Amino acid sequence: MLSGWLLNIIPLAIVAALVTAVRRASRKPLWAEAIRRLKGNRVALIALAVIGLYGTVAFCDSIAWRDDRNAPLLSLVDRVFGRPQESTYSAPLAIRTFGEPMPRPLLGKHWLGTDGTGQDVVYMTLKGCRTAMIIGGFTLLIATPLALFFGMLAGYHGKTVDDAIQYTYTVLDSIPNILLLVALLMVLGRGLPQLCVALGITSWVSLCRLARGETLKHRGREYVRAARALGVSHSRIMMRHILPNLLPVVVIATTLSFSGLVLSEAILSYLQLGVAAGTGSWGNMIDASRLELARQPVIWWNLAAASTALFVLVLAFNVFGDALRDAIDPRLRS
Amino acid sequence: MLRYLIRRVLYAVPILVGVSLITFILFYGVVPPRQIARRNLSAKNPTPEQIQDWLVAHGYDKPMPEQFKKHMTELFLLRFGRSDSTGEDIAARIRAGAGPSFLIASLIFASALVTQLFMALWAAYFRGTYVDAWITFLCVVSMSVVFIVFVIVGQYLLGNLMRFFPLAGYQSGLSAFRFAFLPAVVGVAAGLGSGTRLYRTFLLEEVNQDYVRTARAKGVPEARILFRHVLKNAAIPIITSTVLAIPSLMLGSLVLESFFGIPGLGSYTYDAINSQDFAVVRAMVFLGTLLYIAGTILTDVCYALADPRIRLE
Amino acid sequence: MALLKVEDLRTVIRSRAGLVRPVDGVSFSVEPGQTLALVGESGCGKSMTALSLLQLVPEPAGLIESGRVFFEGRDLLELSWEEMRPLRGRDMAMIFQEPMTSLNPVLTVGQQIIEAMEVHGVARGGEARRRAIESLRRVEVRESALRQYPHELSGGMRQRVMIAMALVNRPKLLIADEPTTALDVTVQAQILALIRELQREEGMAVLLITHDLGIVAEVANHVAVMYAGQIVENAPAGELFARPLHPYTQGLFASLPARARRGHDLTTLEGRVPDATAWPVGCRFEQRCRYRWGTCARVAPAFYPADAEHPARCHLYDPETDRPMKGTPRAEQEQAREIIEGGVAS
Repeated sequence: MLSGWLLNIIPLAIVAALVTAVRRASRKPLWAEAIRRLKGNRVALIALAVIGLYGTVAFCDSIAWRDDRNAPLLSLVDRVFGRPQESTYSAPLAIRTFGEPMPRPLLGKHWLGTDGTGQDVVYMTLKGCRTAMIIGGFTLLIATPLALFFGMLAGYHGKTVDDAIQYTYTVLDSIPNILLLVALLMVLGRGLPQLCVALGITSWVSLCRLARGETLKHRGREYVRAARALGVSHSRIMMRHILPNLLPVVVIATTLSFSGLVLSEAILSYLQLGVAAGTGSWGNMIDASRLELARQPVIWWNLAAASTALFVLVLAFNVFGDALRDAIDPRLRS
Repeated sequence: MLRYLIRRVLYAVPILVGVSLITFILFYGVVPPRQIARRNLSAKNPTPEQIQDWLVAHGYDKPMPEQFKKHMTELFLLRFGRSDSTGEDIAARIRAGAGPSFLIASLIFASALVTQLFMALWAAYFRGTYVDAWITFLCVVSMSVVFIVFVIVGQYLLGNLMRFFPLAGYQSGLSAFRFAFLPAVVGVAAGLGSGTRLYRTFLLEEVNQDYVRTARAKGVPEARILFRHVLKNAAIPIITSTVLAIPSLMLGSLVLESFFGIPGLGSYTYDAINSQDFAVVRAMVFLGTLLYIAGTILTDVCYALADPRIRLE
Repeated sequence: MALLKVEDLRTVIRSRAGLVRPVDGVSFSVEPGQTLALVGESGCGKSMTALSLLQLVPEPAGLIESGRVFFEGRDLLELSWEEMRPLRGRDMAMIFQEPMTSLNPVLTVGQQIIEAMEVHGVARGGEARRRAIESLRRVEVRESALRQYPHELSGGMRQRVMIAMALVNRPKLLIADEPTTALDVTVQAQILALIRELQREEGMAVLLITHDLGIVAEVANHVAVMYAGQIVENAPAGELFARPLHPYTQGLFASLPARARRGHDLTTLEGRVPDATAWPVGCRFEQRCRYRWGTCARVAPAFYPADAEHPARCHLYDPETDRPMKGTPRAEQEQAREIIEGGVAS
């Protein structure tokens, strides 16, 4: 595996790429106008701030290093929020363990209690941020360029290429999403990268279809014909003329699908198909809570923490996605 | 119309071929047959002869293209074979499970459509006012909650608090409704947000059209405009999106059924996932695709019936 | 007494760019049985004026700010939405520019015409159907159209259907918003002839909104010229064509291609309509006017001469004008006429 330091560069690179993209975009009039509109929308800015908060936590959880050669790999979140692991459940802010015949005193303070294995719930929730961000962001990072590529190819060249690509995504699309995910994951197994691949395949389809539709719309436009008449090559036309026109729609679709991806993870974890059992993820926490609710007295803090964290992130993305759509193209709204 | 239907059915064939190819690649190519054999043979350490016998018995020793052809024909003939884990006949189990799944699916479909449409009409009638803002807000919030939380919380609240409806289990016949009630309620509640929002969008798109302005200029009252003009036009996209959802419902929500102990297609799939039963999952994938394609054809037909501008050739 | 009398109507629209007043102090009147043409270029506020009369201003962005609209002596702006409803479609009817999108695509022609009668309790069932067929006959559309959908008809037929729908309740006033703009020229002529004939038959008043001076010449009794949200000239049709007073009107006539002379450039009006979010303090046409002088930019002109048959919103006609004499107004008028008739570029 890559050495620790190299792994730390990846999140930094992602953040740098995002910042550069936004700055370069703000120079184009279409995006500058959209950014201006967004800035005036307070609710959208709050949503963006929330997303940024989650992103920051995920970022902090990605920067990790070892204290010495044999110590475990600890991230910033581990170091700041890690708490001693208890033996079993404990209620929020309690001083003893919970649900045992002989409750033991706790080793540290746990604001939201601990789960079945004694892990601090706040800590687990924060670790889930990284998983969620990777599931949403990484998947889209891979699926979107592929979808754009194939979609543009299909819409632009038409005929056989179009038929082939259309056939491919129609076949994939005809399988009900959850079944396809289940099938893929049963084969690939549990784990974060496998989940990203499976989710990528299913979300590729809708993005590809969208890209193809938009490309078809723009291909017939006058300026494309003019460019061809001037002798501009196909790939240059696609990159410089059609792609910038696709971006608004694609950006909107991507933002709105982020939340769907994160939600899928929760459901898949329930089906024992999501990330590996030990990984911190909200889906796993919710899955564990199924049995916890049946206990007497009820253990609710695990479910509450995970579902709230998930809810806030998804809500933020939904709100921001809507605001982004309104900012980019007010005509798209009702 | 008939020509159109025939054409669509013919178009479905290459799609189904493609789907069976995918399931073939996934389940045979990625997981070697030897492993399946090992898993199915009850002996702890099966000898190579036992494995070979099992492979021959199940036809895994033939070359790939031939296996694929066999795989495909079996699927097309709906001969799903036997379950990998329990050995029972898959098709029979599907037939048994279809009933409960269909019951819950139709309950959810009907009630969800009515409720969502009702709320969307409310929001559209009072558009721009607090009523509309609140409804939209609630929709966005409800859309952001994980489905599982709906199920868990729903089961906890409704099951524990309302003793009349059983938490889990199923009985066929008239008492099935008692068992279907809770899952139906949870299913409707979970989908309320996105459906209402979608229908509201469709309605509002129509409200700004020129023909509404003409109707107002004619002196038509607002309520009649909403129901007779706007709704009738919005019915087109509404029908499209609704009918498309039927196949997924039919398949039985995996989560809903397993949680509430309904022995339908969804929980069958869920059990199969848990026991790594590829044969069943393969069958469900194919069945699901079949239903989905049927759903799209049905959608197009309904669309053509609803919109006088469309004629299916 | 005038059938329709509009006094100082002001409508405002709240947009992202600011507050826009497309209708800013509009006054005119329509006599029973007469046709008033409201003329102006795109964006001058004529459609919004028409919508304001029926209180159909797009909400929530739009708002009728002030003014009075007297219909048969009653101030319509005092009425609520519900109180206005009996008038809409029965006493006052409106037809729109785009017949394709203005008709409901999923209802048949018959259903839409009959609806106009049903909502006002004028007729129902068989009686309504009979009247619908009758009104279609009057616009020369065959009875079989009743069962057809709008997309199955041609553009001209759709507009006829719109007219039939508007007239089925025998309104006293027909407001026609650019009824022929979206149609072919030949169809245009037919529709205009139809409107004129129906007007004669019914004794109906017509408020015709258009930007086409040719149409005005065909059908109008009176003309009101609109510019930048205000009426700038108001006269009987013949008088306006003979002696256009306002420089804008003169410019409109001068720029008609029919007036062009071979070998000479087409006359155009220099400049652009001022930004609607910030109407100038003085005369709104000042920037493009050949006669402008100091006062024009500072003081907004009123209608001069007031109460005459042919007022114009221009300082030129102010009896107490402080204009430095370059020639009497009469001489200027002669010069203007020469320009129009001769097509001489100045």
